[in-house]
Amino acid sequence: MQYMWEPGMVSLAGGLPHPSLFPFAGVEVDVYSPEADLSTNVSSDVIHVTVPKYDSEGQVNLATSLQYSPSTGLKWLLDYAREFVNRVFKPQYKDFDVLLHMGNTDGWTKVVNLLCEYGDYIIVAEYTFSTAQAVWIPMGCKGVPIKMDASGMRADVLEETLRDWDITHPNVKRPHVLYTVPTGHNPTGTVISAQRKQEIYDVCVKYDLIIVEDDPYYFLQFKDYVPGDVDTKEEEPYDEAAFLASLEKTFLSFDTQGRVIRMDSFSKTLAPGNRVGWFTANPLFCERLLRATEVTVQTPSGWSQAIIAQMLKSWSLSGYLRWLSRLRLEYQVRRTWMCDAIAHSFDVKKGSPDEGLFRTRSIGMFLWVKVYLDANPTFQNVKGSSLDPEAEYEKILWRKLVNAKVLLMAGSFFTPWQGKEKATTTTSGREHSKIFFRLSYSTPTQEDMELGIQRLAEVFRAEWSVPN
Amino acid sequence: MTIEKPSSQTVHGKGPSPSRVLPNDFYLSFLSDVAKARKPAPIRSLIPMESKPGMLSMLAGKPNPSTYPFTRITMTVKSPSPLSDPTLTDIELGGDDLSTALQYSMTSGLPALVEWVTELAAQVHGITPGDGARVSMGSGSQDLLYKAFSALINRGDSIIVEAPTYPGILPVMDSLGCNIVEVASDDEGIVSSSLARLLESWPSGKSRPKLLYTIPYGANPTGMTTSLPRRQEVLKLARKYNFLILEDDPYYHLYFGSGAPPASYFSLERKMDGDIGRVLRFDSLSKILAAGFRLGWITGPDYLVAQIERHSAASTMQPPSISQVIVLKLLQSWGISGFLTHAESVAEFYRQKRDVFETYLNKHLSGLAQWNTPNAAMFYWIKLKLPPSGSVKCKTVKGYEGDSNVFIEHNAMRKGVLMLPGECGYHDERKTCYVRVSFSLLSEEEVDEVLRRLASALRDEWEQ
Repeated sequence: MQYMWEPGMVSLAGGLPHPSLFPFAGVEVDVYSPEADLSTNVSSDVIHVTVPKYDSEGQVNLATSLQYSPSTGLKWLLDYAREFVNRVFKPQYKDFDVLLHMGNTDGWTKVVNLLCEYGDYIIVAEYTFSTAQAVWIPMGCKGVPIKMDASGMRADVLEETLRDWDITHPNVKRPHVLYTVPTGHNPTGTVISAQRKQEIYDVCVKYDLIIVEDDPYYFLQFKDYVPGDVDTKEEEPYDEAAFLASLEKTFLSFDTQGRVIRMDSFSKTLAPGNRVGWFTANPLFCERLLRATEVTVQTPSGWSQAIIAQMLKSWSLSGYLRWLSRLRLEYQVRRTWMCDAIAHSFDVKKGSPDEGLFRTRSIGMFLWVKVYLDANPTFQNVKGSSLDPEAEYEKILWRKLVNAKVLLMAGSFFTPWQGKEKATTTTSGREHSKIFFRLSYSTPTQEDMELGIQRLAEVFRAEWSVPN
Repeated sequence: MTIEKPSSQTVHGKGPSPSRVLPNDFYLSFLSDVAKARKPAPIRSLIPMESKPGMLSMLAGKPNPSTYPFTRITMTVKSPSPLSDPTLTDIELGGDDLSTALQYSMTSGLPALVEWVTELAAQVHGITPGDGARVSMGSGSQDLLYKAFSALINRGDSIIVEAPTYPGILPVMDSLGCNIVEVASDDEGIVSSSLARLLESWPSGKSRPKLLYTIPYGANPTGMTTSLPRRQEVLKLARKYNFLILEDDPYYHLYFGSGAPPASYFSLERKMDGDIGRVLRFDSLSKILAAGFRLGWITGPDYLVAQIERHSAASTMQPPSISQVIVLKLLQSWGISGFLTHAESVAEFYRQKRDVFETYLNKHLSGLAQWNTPNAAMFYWIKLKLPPSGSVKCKTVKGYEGDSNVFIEHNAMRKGVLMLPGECGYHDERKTCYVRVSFSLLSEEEVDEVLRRLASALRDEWEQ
């Protein structure tokens, strides 16, 4: 397609529909201003953003965005993404490239097809995003779980695993891909600190791993949980530099060698229905990912691209950063509601993170709840007869919660698949007598969270034979 | 959700007898190993439980709709036939409709859109409830094709493809390791007698081909439409030799031939006695509304559609719902008859462009090239008369008729003519003197000029 735009060239080459046939004359979108206070009635604080059909100066327009377009994505959004990456993440090498995708899971699918072959092993955290592993499990790949602590994946365990690989997995190719959700980890909510990231990066340099940074919750960074803190007003006057400085550094920020493929998404910061996000990676990877994109999804929806591009243009990059600084408060208060609800229905002890009762630095959209089964009568009964009593009891408890009209994600979906031989709690080396649930606090109202946790507590009381 | 359902719920007569519909386990031998290993998406498959009365869900990491910065979208749309009716209408999207469009939604598409499209498929291709098939939206038929091949092909499986074929499908076939078996096509489309011979003489030890990939209307790149008798023969062969038909049909509504439009394979399956369930149809809005929607749909056996959806549920999640709801509002405003009227006006637009192109082809290229006249879509497949020697720098093969790629690069482009070299349509990129040209975008003056330049370039070849 690149020859089409050469001066004097008349092209008969592309099979492009004629834009005069597109039945749209224009589109206008009402959007909040970036300073909008989402907790109050915001309908008056609205900007009108217009996308015309044609534009002679090459600005955002429908004739271009509704036509077949380059698979990299439209220039306006790509330029924006580049500027954003430079301003916010500051990669340590200059010739990084960006490329649009249809959301981080679409991005991850392309990366897996790029970097992994049938039967490869992939480094993941001890608990990993369930959908992300649904991408590689059918390819016969297996996860290598690396223990986590309060700061996420442990670098020492990672080093040990790779160092001893040839002993523990003789004649098996060493893993060369590390998948991570470093900020507001799905499902545990942890954040990998800057220091830990540097340690992990150094191990990856030593053992030549590509780091795939899947980071859709990056901007939902909260301060520590304070019971009863439901304030969504900002503490100090907003300052862009201070906001950016308050954010954890990304793996991309440590990347001197171009071994990080970072995936950003507009799904949690604008809206998921658009199916738009972007890769940041070295030019070689971007070119290969582009080739894969061309013969599959081709490019994200032109509607999505045009509307988002025009909106971001009217907000400016600084406006978008302002928006993001407000957005996290909306989810922070929801974490407070959820944690407060748990505190109302359960006795809360503060302990060390290893006791697993409460992680105050949990961010993003999820609480990861560890349930101890030693004192549970049903589990004790099941233990004698079942090959995997933890899995069996998890199903029983999950079903009881559903019957009590509470819907959660069972933790077993998030345990990395290591092949059939390591599918049970015992064979996979997981802790006995523990199960997990993932609770999402992103959508329920405060009342529904209270009620949901009350129901959860009732079921637990019944299951552990605790008197009311 | 307040998006309306289509108003016309016409009765389409009795469907086919259920005994004709192929059962689910029929497809097991067609599925790839990867497809067999795919499980339902862990979180998505539980989402329907959220709708149980009284259920409180803390299930999914869905963003809170109160955080969406978009409050209203207003589109200005044309009438179905803008040349005769220049009215513009504003369609507004807000409230629940917009929230739904912006949130994570079903992998198969917004239910109201699926319903509308199913009604269209009923009227045009004869789908009926209970005939084993359903419609599922996707992020463009290119992506749906990729996922269909991914669901059906193990490395080394044989497939039948016309030669030449759509260039954009070849990398998909190649990456999956298809064993491509070619079948000839001519001005009536796929040569069914060649296909019959190919299948009759198939080596007995070798696994039979799993599927035929075909573009029956305005085949890219030849521009030809497969006639009805040929389609009937192909369908009979599919039933006899048990292969699936992947009917890639983005130009179905861009037919401007003089005869009645031949029935699609999907509808023929239903009309002709015999099994139903070997045809998987791929439709697209790209050439009828606009390419930038990235919306298309498959119509086919429920079991196969479900495999493709499992793949989507672990990758793209769903088709872009902002595109979906914009299209839905437009289609609801037009209705099916408005949509078909619009499609006709698009076809008419391309027919006129074809007529202009044909005129100037005759004016400039008589004696310098050969071609068949297309009756659908936007392509001509032109055989350039190139000298066997001359400026064409390549190895000489007996019976060799020239290399259009070298001609384009070293000659035509320098005169400002850009065409697609024919080798792009073959999986082995064999040298050919054919080129694919598109008449969709050029004005009459541009057509005259570009074909004049092409003729001059060809004459130059012979003068050397």
